Amino acid sequence: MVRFIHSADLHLGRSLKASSNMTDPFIYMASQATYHSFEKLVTVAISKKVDFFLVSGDIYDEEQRSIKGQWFFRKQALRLQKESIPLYIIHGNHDPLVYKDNLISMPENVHIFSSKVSSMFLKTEAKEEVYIYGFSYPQVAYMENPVPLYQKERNNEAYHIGMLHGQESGQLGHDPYAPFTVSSLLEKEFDYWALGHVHKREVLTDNPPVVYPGNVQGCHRKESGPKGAYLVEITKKETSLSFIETAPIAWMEIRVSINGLLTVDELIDEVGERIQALEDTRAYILSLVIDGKGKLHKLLGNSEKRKELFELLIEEYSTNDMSIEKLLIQTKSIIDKERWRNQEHLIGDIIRTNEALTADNSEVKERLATLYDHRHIRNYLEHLSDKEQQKLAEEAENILLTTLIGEEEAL
Amino acid sequence: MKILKIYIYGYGKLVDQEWNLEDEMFSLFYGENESGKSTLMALLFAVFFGFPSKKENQYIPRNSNNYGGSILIRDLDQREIFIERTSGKYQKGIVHIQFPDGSTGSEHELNQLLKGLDSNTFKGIFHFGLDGLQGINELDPQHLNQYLYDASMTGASELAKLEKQLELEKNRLFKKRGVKPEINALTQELSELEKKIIKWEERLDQYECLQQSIQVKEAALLEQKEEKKRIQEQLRWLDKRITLNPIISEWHAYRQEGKDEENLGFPVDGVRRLEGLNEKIQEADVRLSVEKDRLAELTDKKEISSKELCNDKSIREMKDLEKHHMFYSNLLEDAKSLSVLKEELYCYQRAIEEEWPTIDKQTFEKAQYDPYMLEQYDDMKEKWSRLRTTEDRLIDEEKKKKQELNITEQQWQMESDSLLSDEMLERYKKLENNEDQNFQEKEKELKSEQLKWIKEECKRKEAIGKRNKKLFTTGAILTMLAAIATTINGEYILSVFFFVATIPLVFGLRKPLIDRSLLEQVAHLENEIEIIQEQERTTSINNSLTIDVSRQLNEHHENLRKVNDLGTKMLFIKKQLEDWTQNWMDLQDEWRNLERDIKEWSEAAKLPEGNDILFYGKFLNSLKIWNQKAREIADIRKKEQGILNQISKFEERVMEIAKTFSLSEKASMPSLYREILVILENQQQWKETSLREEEKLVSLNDVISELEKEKHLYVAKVDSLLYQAHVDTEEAFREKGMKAELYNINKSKEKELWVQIVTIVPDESKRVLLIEDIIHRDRDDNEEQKVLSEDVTRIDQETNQLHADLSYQINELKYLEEDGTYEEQKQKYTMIKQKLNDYAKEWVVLETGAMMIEKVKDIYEKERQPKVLKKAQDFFSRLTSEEYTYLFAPIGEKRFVVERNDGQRFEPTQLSRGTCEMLYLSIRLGLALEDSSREQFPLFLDETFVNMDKQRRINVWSLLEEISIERQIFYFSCHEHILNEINDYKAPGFLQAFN
Repeated sequence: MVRFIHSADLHLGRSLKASSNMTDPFIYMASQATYHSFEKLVTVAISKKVDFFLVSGDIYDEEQRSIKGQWFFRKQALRLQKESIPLYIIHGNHDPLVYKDNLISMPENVHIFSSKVSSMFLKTEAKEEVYIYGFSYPQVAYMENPVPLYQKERNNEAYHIGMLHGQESGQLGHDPYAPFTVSSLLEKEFDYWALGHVHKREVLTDNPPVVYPGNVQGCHRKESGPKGAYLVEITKKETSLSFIETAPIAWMEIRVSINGLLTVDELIDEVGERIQALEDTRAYILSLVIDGKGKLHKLLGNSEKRKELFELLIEEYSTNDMSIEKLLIQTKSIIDKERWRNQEHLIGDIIRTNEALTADNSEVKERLATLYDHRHIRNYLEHLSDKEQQKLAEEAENILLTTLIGEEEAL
Repeated sequence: MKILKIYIYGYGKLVDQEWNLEDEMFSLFYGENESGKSTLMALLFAVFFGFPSKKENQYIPRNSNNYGGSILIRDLDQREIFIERTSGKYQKGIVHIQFPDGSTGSEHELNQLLKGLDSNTFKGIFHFGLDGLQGINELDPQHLNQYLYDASMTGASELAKLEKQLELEKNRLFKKRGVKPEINALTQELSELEKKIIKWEERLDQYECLQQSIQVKEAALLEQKEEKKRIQEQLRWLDKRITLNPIISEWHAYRQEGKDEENLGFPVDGVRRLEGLNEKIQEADVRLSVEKDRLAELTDKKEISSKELCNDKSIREMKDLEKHHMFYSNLLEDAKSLSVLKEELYCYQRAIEEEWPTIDKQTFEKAQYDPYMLEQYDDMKEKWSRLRTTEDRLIDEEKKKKQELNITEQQWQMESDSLLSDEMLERYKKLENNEDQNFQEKEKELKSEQLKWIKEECKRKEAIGKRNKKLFTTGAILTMLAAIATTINGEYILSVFFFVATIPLVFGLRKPLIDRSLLEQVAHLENEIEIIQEQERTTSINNSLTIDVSRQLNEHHENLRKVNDLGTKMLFIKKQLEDWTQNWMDLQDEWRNLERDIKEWSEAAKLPEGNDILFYGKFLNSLKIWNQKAREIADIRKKEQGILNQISKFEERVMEIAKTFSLSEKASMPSLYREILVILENQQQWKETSLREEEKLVSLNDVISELEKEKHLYVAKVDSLLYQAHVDTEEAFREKGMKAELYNINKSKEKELWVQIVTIVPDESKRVLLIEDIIHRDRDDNEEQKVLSEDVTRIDQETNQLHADLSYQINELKYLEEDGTYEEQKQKYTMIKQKLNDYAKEWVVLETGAMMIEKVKDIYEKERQPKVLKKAQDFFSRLTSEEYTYLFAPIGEKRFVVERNDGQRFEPTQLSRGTCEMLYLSIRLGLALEDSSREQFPLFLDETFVNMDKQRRINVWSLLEEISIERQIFYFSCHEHILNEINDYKAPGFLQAFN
């Protein structure tokens, strides 16, 4: 049996994309989260006495600046070296070989694949023979399909493990680097495919396992849930995958409905109950989503009230292990737009105006350019997509309508 | 729409009240404060738009359970519709509509009736409060335009409020040139943080440079270390050069001098050696003359003493005599002691002879005493002892057997007697169990007899034992004595034999006198007799008892068996007695043979005949000792004779020497010997003296010869010195010697200096270089030393600087590797940026909202405002008695302009407050009446004109009267003058008073 750790996308030194509602200890923890996660993984590798340790790309987040990252990686590699555990590494789009990766020299147990697909041979303590295949990105954008370059060695007794940092054709939301299909991987008849690049943990096929372990620490709201790597135990007959959670901080979305809630206190209590129910084994960055229909909708439509509520929630529930990052109000207006749309007065005008602005948003964009093209501010602002803009416009319309029409009359 | 009737079931203080307004279009509701005007107004609102929420005054009646009310309206289609609102599930209550065709409806139908009108719009258009006009008075000129402008719009006030709020929030978030708004502030913060991060990144960018710099500095340090080492080496070299400079210079000078005189050819230390040799030659001459004188003197002396000496043979003899004199004295002593010993042995022999008075001395002398004879005697003695033992045993055996036979016969007889007679047997057989008492007695008797015999036997054995004991004692003493004697005589084998013979004799002594078995038999028989006596007593006691017949019979049978056994035993004993007689006869024959053998043996050994074997044994012992002593005497005699011979030989030699020296022959042997010793002593002294003189002569001759040789040697050496110095005379030699001495002094100084040089610079190659350097080069060493020292100082300073730089850079490197500040700042940066984006989105919402409001206003301005303004202009003209004839809004500008009848135009701010009020009222009325899409709602005026001056109010009443032709008007007031004015004006208003 061969036992190893399959990790990927360490992104050592990556910042967590949270807003600034954090305590100082939490900020420190967040800045060190990727390091801690990897360190814990190495500890597990040592305690489980693995035969080797794989990192399928993107060890560092910003290669040129990752001196601490390299230093830290070296420190962990030395820990593994003490236990005679070798490390096999491929570089990905975030840390391609073109960057300086030799600022800090790595110990001898670190094996880095070159930019050409090659194989490395290894004999475990139990005398199992293993071939590990892989390649590192020569530059940031590697758009070719690398799979044909993987050539299986002629040794059927040995285990063949492929390392690949790239985008499976079915995966979305990532840059389409080194694109490949699962079927092309299966054709290679390897025993295990250790993938990287996609941050969401996913087992694409079971036999043989083709696995994305996900990144070791979620870095924004969309990378929610537990994060870590896989402990893989593989024999010629079967493979066992155990997920090892190591991320110190988990991103989490909590949805609370205002259905049936009459007061803000009730809403705060409801949020509190949901927070209390979370496991206390890790720290959390929470996004609170308030949805549903009800009496509180109008109140939450008021930006002042919304702000007040957010501050209250932070004051009530923020700790050194818990940060409330966002409050999203998605309560539904109970205004029957159809009823109002054709009326010859203000409300109808508003609804129609919004529709006109959505249909042609150039005027709105022009208006928003005051901020978005502001020469001091524009560099810090993320691009506002049409879809987002439309959503925000609906929010604005909602505010106008809710203010102008009493909920009572609206029914 | 016209409200025909109002029914209040219960609303606030109004309970169960009804108003019929069917015939009037202008209704004045007059009453004191708190009389219910507002309640009525609120009810009308509630019927149309629902009961107010909990936050507002809900007008729940205190005195009635009925809540709500109803109205009867006539719509534009002239339908009379009943609308009722009562309390229900929802806060706003339940609405019930009853159409004239009998159909009913609820909220939906009501909404259709109101054509989507909401409460705010209703209030904004159809409700004229005092606030609206008062607002104009309170507004500053800046906002007046906006106020009036908004008044021309439906829902304008809410929209305006919202617009203001949005503006405020937008400003809170962002201002184009602001600093404090959130986005601006965050941007500033981000910019600063970004600068810090860039600085950090610059620092991190320096990492590689730092690494290289550290490597360069480390290499430089190494180089400087080498450089310093090299300079220090040079300094040490220089030190040595400075130290060695005078030495080597001096050494070099001596060396140069020495080179010119190297071929001088004068022997080392020549002059001193010459002087020394001359002195030695003189000394040798003096000693030679002295020794020659002594030789002459000694030769004379020797001639005199050699005349006194006798020849060597005599002296040798005398010396020999002296040597043997001690032996002679010992011989005399030995002769004396041998004589004494011989006499003692004679005495011993005589004592032995005296022990045997019957035997003469010749017998001792003749008797043969040899091992063969002794062996024969031993055989005979052994045989004698054996026969004696056999004889004793046979005698005992005979007695014992006879006695045993006798006892057995008696027992047989007794047992036979104790048998039952045939008759008795018959009788007992019949009777059985009858016991013969006599048997016991007989048995007792028999046992007593047996006891008696055994006791006698004991006595006999005791007697034999005593005799034997005596015999053993004698034997033991004799053998012991024999053993001692033989030991004294040195015949150890015999003595061992005697000792061994003593041991059994001693054991014989220890043997008990009476056999233990006999004693045991005595005890046993006595015991049996006692038992029989006891039985007798028992039998006598039980005599009277019935005799056990069967026991008697058993005893009879037992006795019969015993009789038979005893008979057999008797026969066996008799047979044994016959055998004994034969044995006895054989013994007697052997006795006779032994006697014959003894006789023959004594004759052969020439011993006195006719004696028994024991005599011969004792005599042989004495003879053995006697013979031993005789042998010893013979030995002594032989030794004595040898000694006497040697004594006489010695004395003869003494006499011979005495004769040689003419001594008196009559003098005793000791005195002669003493005189000879004196002569010998004198001769020896002379001899020694002569020898010593001889030796002295030889040695003197040797000395003289040596001295002569020595002198010759010295002379030869002098010659050699002269030859070496290539001179002929000593004077020339000395002169040349002076020169040589000076050369040598220089040479030794040169050597001394060389040793110093070698000590300071042991390495030859370095030394050669150094010497070369000092001799041939000309430079200022101190100057060079100074320069080199300065170089060392400079290198030290540079090294310290390098160390400091290196330490800083290594720390920096470590800091860059391990410090988490960069990550922390980046984390903060990301967070602030995220917040900034969140605010931006918030701002987008607000901005979009504001934009929507503007758009809606535009729509209004373009599509609806013109109609409203047309109406408003008419009203304004009438209300100002046609002073102002024209009202318009310039395109694209959110303001009104009024034109006076003289053509002059004014901004509302330029008008008086009163005129402004008129303008506001005109715009509001224009808006209310122009809203053609509505169901021509009644107008509700609540104390609207109370603060207006009378003239203007009259104009208003006039206008309202006109309006009320087509539109129902409700006027609420508590002021009497309003009531009076309306009455005076005789307006068609209908007074609806509250009590």
